[in-house]
Amino acid sequence: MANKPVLIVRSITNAMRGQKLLENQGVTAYIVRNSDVSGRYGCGFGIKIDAPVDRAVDILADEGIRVVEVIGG
Amino acid sequence: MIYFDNGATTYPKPACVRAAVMSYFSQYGANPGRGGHDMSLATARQLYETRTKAAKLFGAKEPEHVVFTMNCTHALNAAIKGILQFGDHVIISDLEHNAVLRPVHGMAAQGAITYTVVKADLHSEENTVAAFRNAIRPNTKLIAVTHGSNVFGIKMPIEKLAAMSRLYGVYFLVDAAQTAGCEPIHMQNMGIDFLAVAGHKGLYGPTGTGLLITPHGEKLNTLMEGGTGSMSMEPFQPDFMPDRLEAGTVNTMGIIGLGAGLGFVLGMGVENIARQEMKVTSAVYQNLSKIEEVILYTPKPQYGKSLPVISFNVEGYTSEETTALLNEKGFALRGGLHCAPLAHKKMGTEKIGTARVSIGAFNNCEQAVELANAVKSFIANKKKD
Repeated sequence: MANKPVLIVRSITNAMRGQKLLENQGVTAYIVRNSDVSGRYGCGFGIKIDAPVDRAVDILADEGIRVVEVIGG
Repeated sequence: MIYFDNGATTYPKPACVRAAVMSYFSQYGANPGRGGHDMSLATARQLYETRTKAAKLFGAKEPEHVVFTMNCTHALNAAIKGILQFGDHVIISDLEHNAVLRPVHGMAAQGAITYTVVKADLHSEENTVAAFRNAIRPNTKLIAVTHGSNVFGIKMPIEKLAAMSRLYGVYFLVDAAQTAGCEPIHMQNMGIDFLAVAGHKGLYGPTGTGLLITPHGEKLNTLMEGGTGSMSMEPFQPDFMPDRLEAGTVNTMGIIGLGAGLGFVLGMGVENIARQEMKVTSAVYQNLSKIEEVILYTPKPQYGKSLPVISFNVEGYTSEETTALLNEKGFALRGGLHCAPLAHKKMGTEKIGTARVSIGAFNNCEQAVELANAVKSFIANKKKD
């Protein structure tokens, strides 16, 4: 899963709910730390995915989870 | 010991809760939501599962709407002090616990808000709703009511009050300290804006746990600010849930135990728990009512209309004397005012309090007979003296 995109979300709770939502839709998803420590959403969590970013972002947005940044990919 | 003080906290706790609490020491001892290592994430997942179960049990839209608090009092304070602004008006009932009365009264004493205490009509839900409606003013922001009295087991018509509140654009807060886990509650269907829950009563979790469940958390002023494990570069408390209302490290051990308690309640079924508890409550009432010297304050409890709580007194004894004598005979009950002076004033028991029998999932009808026998026994002993 190296070099795969990470969808940064606002909280660990969003990350956990988001992971389940993505997995339910057949997307492989792992929770990781936000590597951009000093960024606005730093010291937080993201979901590393093995799927097109747009599709994953839409899945999360449909359930009220906002992706605040996308890193890598 | 026969434990009849479940209104204070439930005892015993189910085996699954005890096991879950122990798992904190061996498997889930990291700080959840702070690190990215395996144990931190595993611990965070336990907390997430607890939120998910709570959202399911109480009909909340999302797990993010579930906030962990220290207890129900903390949840009530977070909602009341969070939503009210200077100049607002609040309506409460005359059955409220001090956990509602004191924060409201405290804010009023500082000149920040005003409040009205409405008399609940014990014989007519329509009259109760009308009384609340008549108390609404242009600046009424919140109606805060107990789902059921912790002293007398009287239920409030929360669905009707919620519907009325919605019609008038007033927020509706329910104190579910005595009803979470033994009364069906569905926030979305019932129109409840804020639900305050004790984790350690009808949900069979450890003490030091509670929940505030609300879709309006982003609007609340915060009681506490601090580290949330999110947006750390920002000096402001996050404006999203649940982080906004959870500053600092939570009671991880307690919340994992609470998760197991929620699982216990979901597995047993709230209505099954309610039926069983009301069966024992009826048995307590029937047996006590046969004793001439016993004073009861409410009609015979009925499933769907009352909570598994009975208050009584014995002629010639204060409530504390009664509960002390029963303690000597191996029964755990609570005497006094139960932190609910309004309820006692309503029922005329503010001078001597009452002895309260509060039934839980692990009580049975045989214990109801034994309790009555114990009361008869100390009355007989006094007559001999």
